[in-house]
This record gives sequence, structure tokens and C-alpha cells, in this order.
Amino acid sequence: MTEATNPSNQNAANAQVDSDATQIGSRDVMVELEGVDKFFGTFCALSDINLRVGTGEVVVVIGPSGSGKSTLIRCVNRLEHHNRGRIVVDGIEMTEDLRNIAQIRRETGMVFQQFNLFPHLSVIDNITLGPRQVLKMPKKQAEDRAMELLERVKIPEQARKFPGQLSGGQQQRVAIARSLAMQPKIMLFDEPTSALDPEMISEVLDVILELAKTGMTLIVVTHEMGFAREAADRVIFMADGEIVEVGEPEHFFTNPREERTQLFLSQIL
Amino acid sequence: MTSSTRAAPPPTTQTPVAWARRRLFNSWYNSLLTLVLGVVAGYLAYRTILFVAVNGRWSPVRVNLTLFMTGTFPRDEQWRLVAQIYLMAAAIGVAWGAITASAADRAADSGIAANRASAPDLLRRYWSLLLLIAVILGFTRTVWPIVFALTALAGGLGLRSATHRLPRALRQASWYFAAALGIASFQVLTGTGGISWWWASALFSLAAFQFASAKDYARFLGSVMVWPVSGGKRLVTTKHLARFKMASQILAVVAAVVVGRVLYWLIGDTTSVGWDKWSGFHLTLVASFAAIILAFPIGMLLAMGRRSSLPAVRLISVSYIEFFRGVPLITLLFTGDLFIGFFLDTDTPLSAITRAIIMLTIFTSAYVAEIVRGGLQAVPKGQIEAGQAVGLATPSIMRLIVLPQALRAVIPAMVGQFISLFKDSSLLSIISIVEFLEVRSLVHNQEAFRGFGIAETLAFVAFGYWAITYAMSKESERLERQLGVGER
Repeated sequence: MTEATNPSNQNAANAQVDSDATQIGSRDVMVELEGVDKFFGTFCALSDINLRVGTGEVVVVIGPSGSGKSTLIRCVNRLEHHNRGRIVVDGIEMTEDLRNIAQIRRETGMVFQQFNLFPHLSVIDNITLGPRQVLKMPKKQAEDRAMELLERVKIPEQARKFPGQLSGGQQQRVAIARSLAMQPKIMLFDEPTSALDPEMISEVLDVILELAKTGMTLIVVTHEMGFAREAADRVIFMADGEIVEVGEPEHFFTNPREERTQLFLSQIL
Repeated sequence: MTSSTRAAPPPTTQTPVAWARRRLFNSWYNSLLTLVLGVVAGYLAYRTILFVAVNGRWSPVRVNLTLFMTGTFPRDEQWRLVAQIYLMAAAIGVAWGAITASAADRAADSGIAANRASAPDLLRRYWSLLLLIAVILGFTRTVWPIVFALTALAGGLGLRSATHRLPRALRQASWYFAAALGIASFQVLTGTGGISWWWASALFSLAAFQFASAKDYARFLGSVMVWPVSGGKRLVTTKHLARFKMASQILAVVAAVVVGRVLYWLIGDTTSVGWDKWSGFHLTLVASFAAIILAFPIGMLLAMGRRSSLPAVRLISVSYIEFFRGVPLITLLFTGDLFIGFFLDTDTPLSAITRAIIMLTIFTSAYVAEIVRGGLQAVPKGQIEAGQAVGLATPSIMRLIVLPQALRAVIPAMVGQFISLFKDSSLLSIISIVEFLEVRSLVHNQEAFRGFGIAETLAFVAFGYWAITYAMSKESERLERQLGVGER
């Protein structure tokens, strides 16, 4: 706690981030964070975060628990309120205006660790709720789209069941379909496989991998290093609320530069 | 999935002797317990039957049945009560039919077999009410109440199955129809017959507009507007359809108000039995169910107000809840009786019953607020976040995600509160309202029944309260089960 708020520590970390690594080449910028700070009370959860994510880019965020990974992506769609800095999503700068926030939330889909499906609604109603209420889509059209999405996540036969009747992996795939139903430009994944039994992890990761191939912009917080290696365009390592190291997966996993990254990778690989 | 090679579960049927051995006489002390409790239960049953069928002096109830049911309601106007029973039966029948039909539709949509309640199911659910009707009819001295009750029951059931068979397009209309009947059932009593026409015609014309599809209607409006205004350019898009539908309904209401007004002048019934003249079981039912229906939405708003992020709203809600929960109901009833007139400076003071219903509502809504708050807190934060991530606005998240889950969780507590309100309505006697229990003191003031059959009248009144509350708790059980779909 005290360590994270130490200003000298913070400056040191910023200096260590290679400016080239934050570049996104020729891509258009989809998400941009500039000097973002986030506090929970006096605890500094995010400290001077600078990050640009390009259109169609897949960014995987890794790091020890409590390092601010989830907080980072929750700031992108305003589930958390950042205290300082600038967040721009698809050219829309986040302000206090509710309409502005609603607009940003329409651009982003989010998948949670605990699925957070609506238990009182059937699978198809979970998926069509947003399109019908927010996009004012007619029921028939919303259900047709929902069925397409369920085909895509390979569980069309579960459409009329309730979330409580599905396995964890199936629930998470429904949650992905629910987010996709809003036709977002960016998908945020907050540890999508951490609450799953081991044999169900791959079915969810396969769906995310396929999404990545379609050219959608993804920011994925995960502990699945195999997935990070396979899917990521860039890997971001966070610790104590800071971005410690950014790099391409190949370089990142074989030849990490920072000591903290090396330590983390040695602990989990 | 059971594979065919696996053994089936062992049969569970057993002979009565085996059952008794296993459940009642499986050890010497359980055998002893069975015998002792058997003797006690048998003795109690014997005494009860003796009281009800042999020794009971039921003449105070038999002679004063009308008094118990309707209290001091003017005898000349009792046709209004009969009319109310028919209208009420019709309203319940139509609403019930609409409920079962939409449940069947939903089930068909989901590809699940609809589970319509079977006759034994209904009997299990409502046997206490049927027993109550049977007991009341058993005390009547003429055949007419029996005829009325049976025809009303038959009419209600007939309307139920008729509504159930209506095509889907008329579903919405049947809701309006049921509401119109329900309102009319009360206005036949309060005598504002003209106003009941007024209301009914408003609801009927709303219903009529449900027949025409919104699309046709908007297309018609659109074709009218396109040509003269913009020289052929289409003014109406699909986005406007819903708005035109609403506009057309508002138009319908306005038209109906005018029509209703004309009808009132033509056939308005200006005689009335205001509810300050109602009493007995009838009043107990009306006052407590009015308070229940009013307290529920108020309590819900208060619960949301208490969790609001706006300090003023929160302060008002908290003070309301804490004040009215902290004061005995009797105090509130006296307060209402004595002080509402001072604060509300009306020309004609509110009747005692209006004041009583207001105070019961205020009291109960404070408790309902706390019950609903418990339910709101039980909904995980992740549900709200998921709603936000999907892009829903805060009111939609409340209405579509949080409240449905919160209310389901608190059904038992809520029904408990309503049952307690129903029984607390007997306190209205202290502000000289003759409700069901208070009728007894009228009866025992009569020369013939002074000190006579006290236990019997008490038993009758107690049974009346019990029958209603038992049906309420059965209904809450059913609601819980029905809404619990998918939560396992």
C-alpha cells in the first residue's frame, strides 16, 4: 500500500517503460489512456497509466493480484471512476456527462470473472435485453441475432434455459454473446477464465481467440500465459498500479527486461 | 442421463404396515411418543368436533350473519353488494384468464410444456377460501346467497376460460377490461355510477386501440401528414411508430373522457353508499387490501429512496421509515383520527375509514420499505455492473435487473407483513370503526345474545381471519415457486 504511493517509485517505473513499446504502429487509436490515476480512498490503485490500444489490436494484461489490472479495464468503460488523467475511447473523451458515459459503454462490451448473467432471465433474454432496451431493436430481430451469436459460441441449444442450469464455461460463453449482441467495437475481458473448472477454460479461450481473429479490439486481463502468447499483439505487465513492461509476446516471455517481470514469470511458468 | 445398463432406482412404494413400522414405531420410545401424541390429537379432534357440531350455540352467528358480513351497511342498498360480488368475480375471472394465457404463451415461446394448474392443485391452494364460503353459506337462512355465490363463481370461472381462449392480440385488451370491471365493482357501491361509466369508457377505448396494430395506425397518420406538409417527403419513420401509438392512446383517453362526461349527464346514478357506512367483514377486506395495494409501491419507492445517492431523497426516506416504524400503530390510528383534519384543511373532513386506510398504508409502507431494502441489498453488485456494461441506464437497471431479483427474495417476508396488516385491521375498532371483530360487541349488546355464545362468535371471526391469511400464505408459496424458475 505504502509502496505504491511512493512517488519516486512511480517516476522510476515511468522511465522504465520503453516509449517505443507504447507505440501502436500504423493502427488508428481505439483506446487511449493518458496519465490516469485511480485511488480507493488513499490507496493508489492506478498510478500515471499511459496506454494506447490500436483498432483491431489484442492487448493482454498480466500481473500479480492487486496490481490494478482489473481496475485498469474497469476505468475504460467507467465501472470505476478515474481520479486524474484522460481516457478517450474511439474518439470519445470520457467526461462526467451521463450521455457521454452511455455512449462509451455502447462502444465497449465487458465480460466478467463471475459471468454476472441475470439469473431471472433465460439465456436468450439475457442476450436480447441490451439490444431491445438500449438499441430499441424489435424482439424478433434481437432474437435472431442472439441465436446467431449463440451459434458462434457453440451453445444454440441452451437458448431457453436459465443461467443456473448451465455449466460455468457455458455461462461465460453466454456472457460473451451478451456483450457481442451490443455490437461493441472493443471487448474487455476481466479474468474470464479464473472462476472456471480447468476442463472448461479452453472452450472459453477458443471463443475469445476466434474473436481476436475477426479483428475486434480486445483488452484481456488473464492468468493464462498460453493464451497470451498465442493471441496477444502486445502483452502488458502491471505491478503495484503501474505498467512495468510492455512488449510483444515473443520478446516478453523469452526475454523480459524488467526484474519484476522476470520474477513474476518465474513464479507462474 | 442414465445409461440403460445401470440399475433403476429401487421402488419407493411400501405397505402401510411397513410405513407405520418405519416412521411411527421404529423404537420403544418413538412408539410411546406416537401413542401419547395420538391420544392427545384424538382428544383435541373429539373436543373440536363436539364444539362445532354438537355443543356450539351458533345462533348469534346465524341470526347476525348479515351484520357480521356487511355490518351497518344500509339494508335497502344491499343489491349493490351483490352487484359488487358479480363484478368482482368477473374482474378476477378475466384477469386470471389473461394470466394463465400469457403464462401458456410464454411457455410455448420457450418450448416448454405449460403446466396449467390442475383442479386438485387449485383445491390445495384455495381450500381455506372455499371452506370459508361454505361455512358462511351454511349459516344463511335463505337460499339467495347460495344462488348468488354459485352463479358468481360459475360466471368468474366461465370468463376465465373464455379469456384464456382469446386470441393473443386481445390479451392487452382483456387486462383493461379486468381493470374496468374491478373499478366498476367499487363504484357500484360508492354510487358514483356516472364516474364508473367515465372510467370504464376510458379503459374500454384504450382497449379498443389495442385491436388496431400500431403500424397500421402510424401508416395512416403518416400518409395524412406526408402529403400536405412536406410535398411527398416521408415524415414518419419506423422510429416514430411507437410514439404515434402512444399519441393515439392519449387521444383515445381524451375522447373517452368526453364520452364519459356525456354518459354521466345522461344516466348518472347520483345515489351512493359512501364507505363511511361500510363495516363488518366487507370493510375488513376492503380496508386491508386497499392498504396492501397502496403500501407496496410506496414502500418500494421508499426503499429505493433510502439507497439513493441524492442526500435529500435519502434523508426524507430514512426519516419517514424510522419515524413510522418507531410509533405504535394504535398511536398512528388515533393521530389519523384526530389530526389529519387539522393538517388537511378540506371543506368536508375525510371519513374515518379513509383516515384509517391512510394510516395503515403509512405504517405498512415503512415496514415494506425495510423488507424491500433487504432484498435490494441481496442483489450482488456484479448484476448492476453487468447492466451498466450492457449500456442500460440506471432506471432500467433498477426495473429490469435489480427489482425483479430483490422482490423475489423478499416475497415471504412481504406476505408476512401483509398478513400482519390484515390482522391489525382489527385495531380499527378503537377509532370506532365497526370492522369484523367489532361486530361481536354489537351482537352481544343485543338482548337475546348478551353473554350468550361468546366463544362461538369468536371462533367464527377467528376462522374468517384464518381462512384469508392461509390463502395468502399459500399464494406466496406459489409465487415463490413460480418466480424461482431457473434458480437452482
